[in-house]
Amino acid sequence: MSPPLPRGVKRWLRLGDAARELDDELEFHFAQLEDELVRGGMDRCGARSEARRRFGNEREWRRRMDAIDRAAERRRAAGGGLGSLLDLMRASARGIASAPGLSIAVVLAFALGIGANATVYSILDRLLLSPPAHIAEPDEVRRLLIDRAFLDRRITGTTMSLPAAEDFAASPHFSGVAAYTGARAMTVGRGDAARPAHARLVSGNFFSLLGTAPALGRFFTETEDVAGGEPVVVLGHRYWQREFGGARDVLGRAIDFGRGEWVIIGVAPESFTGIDLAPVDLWLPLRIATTPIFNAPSDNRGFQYVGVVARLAPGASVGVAEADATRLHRLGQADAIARGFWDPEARVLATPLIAARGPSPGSEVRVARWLAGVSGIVLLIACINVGNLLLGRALRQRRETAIRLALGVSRRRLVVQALADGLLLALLGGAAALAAAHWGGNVVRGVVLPGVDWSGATLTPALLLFILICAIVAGLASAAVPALQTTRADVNDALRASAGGITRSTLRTRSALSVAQAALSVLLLVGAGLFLRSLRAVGDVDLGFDGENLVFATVLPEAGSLDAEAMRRFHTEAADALSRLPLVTSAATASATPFIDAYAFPLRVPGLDSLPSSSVGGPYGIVVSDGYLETMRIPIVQGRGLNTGDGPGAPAALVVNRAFADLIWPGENALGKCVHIGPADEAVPPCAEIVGIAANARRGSINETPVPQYYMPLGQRLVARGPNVLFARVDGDMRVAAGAIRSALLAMEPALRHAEVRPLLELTQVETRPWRLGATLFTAFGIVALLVAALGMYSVLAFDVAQRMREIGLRTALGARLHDIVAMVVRRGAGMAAAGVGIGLLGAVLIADRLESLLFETSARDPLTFLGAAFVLLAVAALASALPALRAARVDPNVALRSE
Amino acid sequence: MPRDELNVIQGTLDLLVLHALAEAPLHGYAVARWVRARTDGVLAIEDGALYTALHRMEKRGLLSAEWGVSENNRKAKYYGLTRKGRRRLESERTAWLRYAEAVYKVVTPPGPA
Repeated sequence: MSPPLPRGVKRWLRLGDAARELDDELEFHFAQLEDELVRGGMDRCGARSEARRRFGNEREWRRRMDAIDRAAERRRAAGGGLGSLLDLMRASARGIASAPGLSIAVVLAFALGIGANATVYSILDRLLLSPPAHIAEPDEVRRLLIDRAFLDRRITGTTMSLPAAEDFAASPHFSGVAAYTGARAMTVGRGDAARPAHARLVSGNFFSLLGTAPALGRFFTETEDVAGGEPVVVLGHRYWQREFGGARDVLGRAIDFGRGEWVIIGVAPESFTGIDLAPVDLWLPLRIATTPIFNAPSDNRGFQYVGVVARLAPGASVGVAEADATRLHRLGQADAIARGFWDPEARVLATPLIAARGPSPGSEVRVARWLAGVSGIVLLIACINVGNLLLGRALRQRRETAIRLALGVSRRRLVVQALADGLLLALLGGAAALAAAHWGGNVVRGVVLPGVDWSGATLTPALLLFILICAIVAGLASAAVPALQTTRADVNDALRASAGGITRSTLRTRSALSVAQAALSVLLLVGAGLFLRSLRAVGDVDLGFDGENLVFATVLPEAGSLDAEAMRRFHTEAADALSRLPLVTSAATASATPFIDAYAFPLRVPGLDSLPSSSVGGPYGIVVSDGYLETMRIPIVQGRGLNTGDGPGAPAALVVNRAFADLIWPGENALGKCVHIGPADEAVPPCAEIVGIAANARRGSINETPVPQYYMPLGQRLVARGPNVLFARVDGDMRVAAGAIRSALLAMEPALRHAEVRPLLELTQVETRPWRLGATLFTAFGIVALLVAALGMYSVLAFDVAQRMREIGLRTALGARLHDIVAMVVRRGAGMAAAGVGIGLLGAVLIADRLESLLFETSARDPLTFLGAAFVLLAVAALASALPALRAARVDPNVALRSE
Repeated sequence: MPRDELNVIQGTLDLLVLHALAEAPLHGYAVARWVRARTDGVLAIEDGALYTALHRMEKRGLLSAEWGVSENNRKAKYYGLTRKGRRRLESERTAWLRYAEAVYKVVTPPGPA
């Protein structure tokens, strides 16, 4: 036993020595007394009998003291004397220090498991649990959404027109109603100094309604926020720090983002993002900024661009407020309803602010939810692994345990000590996890969900509490199995058990734990495989155009410098100029960009009273320069493309896509058909003839049902809208080409503030993120799980071999061949792995339905993935058993049989 | 009681032991000697009874015990008062004094009033 134990611990370790202690005590007594009597003149013999006489009936007194001591011992051992928590922890600390390798492995496993969960918790907290920061009494603040029929389905609209938002102000059930727009990408500065910024337009009462106080200066107010008012801006805290170094004299300075100068009047508090989570750099007054930024008047009922937030009046009930808001909404939309543009049954919903509690949680919430699942599995694997390691330790210490049991230490006492061991290890792991969550958390959060402002998300008391709870649960859970296992053992058996005999049930438990780890690893491997295949499927998707080596360019002119006509001329000339650049093979201009914008124009088809509705939107029209279809490489499947011949004087020509043709003329040949493009109430515009049918190009999403689209020649001006984007196919380095294109554009037109050139496929990254994220996370966690499972399996097999040295030696001596011995060990490893694979695959099948919706054109029961996961696990298991097997093979029967 | 001579009631024995240990921790032999010296041998207390009392009071948490080395370099078990023991000493002393006073009043002949 370890000598430098603290006295309290020593005392309970010495339990059972009471009888010897009593002997010592009395021996001292008699010796002292006899010595004294002898000194007083008595002879040794007389002194001895005098001492016995004075003591009384020695046997009887001894019997009594023995009974007292034993009772005291029992009480101490039974728990009355469990000792303080501190004693327990001290004993655990000794144990941990005495096996540093094991302890480090355990703490690392806990740190990994708890750290992953702490990070995920902080994400979930932001998305699912807590209201956005800096909002007073957030429960009283509600998002107003419109639930209405749209075409053939119901949608929950998050945006509406500003007049529709203002309708709600009349309700006595709200103490305030404010409007805001989504965060909008802008560019501040000009030319090479241009920097991106995200602006959000909010009504003047937005800040006061939420109850937010500025970090510096002031917010704009309701009286300032009127159309044509003074342009002012409030900076986001992060932007203020980044662009102005947090200077306090920013107030009064101006910001120029191409729409005149905006005067800074204040700075919002740190991590304030309004009621969404996306970071905001610039806060602009809604009624002043709408026209310069959206090129639309704010009082147009057809322009749905604001979200609405309302504070419930004191004592108002949500149900009544919703009913009243619905009434006001239908009243305000009466005109649109009468004209059939708006659902007469539209209802207003007042939903809570927390992102996930809304009726349509975004992809971020979905991502976070299954992140929680994956990290939960990692913690589970960590716990199982720790349980297995502790069980291994308990096995090595089983004789010591048996001795303690034989000495009368209660089983309860041993169980409590084992649990304390687990708890202390988990707390250490929790501390390491805290550090990991603190330093690594922000990185992970930024990678996982970049669209969220995470400032101020670290180390909240709730997070600390979460880590503590995690550590306690994980510690107790992983220590429970070894604690119960070791103490269940029969004392006599355990004492007799030499290195050769070991309780079968304990080994079975260790094997079961290894199997469980293998099963969970298989589950994660299957997840990784499915997401990798999804990612590949996404990459292989035929977008209908060739996105490789394709860049798109947008420009921003000085405010008021170029009118629509000048922009049309600029884009037309620029397409020409770009196609002559050395690195550019072809270039074109268009009025819409895939994944960014789309415009629908009034269409009439002779012979049809109304267009059949398309559930995916559209038909959308794009004005294109000749060479657009070639530059995008959108194949023509029938007829011809558009060319220079389709000019101002020529007959109006159209190219439609397959989806358009199938929608309007199902089963017919669309070539040569006629379409009228233009508003219904004007004179019938000339007939545009369909000259070609193009393949379906993706409109807004990689994963979409083909959207009906048509292409109009730029020169024929069938609609008023002009081009707003340039496309160029690049031969060579994309970065160099993009730089050249940018310089060329800026050189062409001095009125341009800046030009932005980006690869078109960059736009799909937001969409592919869930799969990339899934593939990354599942692969990373899967590899960790695999390593841990391999370690667990190895330790079980190695222990097994060490236990059976004699048996193996005997077998060898009796003539067992080498490969029999190896096979014996490998069979056990293979058995565990096979069981793990079976259970893991079964689990994967069970959750397949839930996983399927997260995948892209991949079955959640993809046999190839299942086979792959099984193969990987079996291969790793073979490796894990190889070492112990070789050790078994090298057993020298002479040595093995002579030992013990 | 194993022997008829033992006529010290248990409460009194406990009080004596607590008293003996009030100053400093002592081993059992020193306690026995202290009691014998203070009572001038009037109370016939068997050493066995004394040790049993020590063990009983240790079990009850009135005393704590630890092994030490005696004056003449022998290994000896030392007993000391715990906080609980010290409180018990006070209350026992008060109770015993009141008891003794009451008995004294009864057994002494009434003096001139």
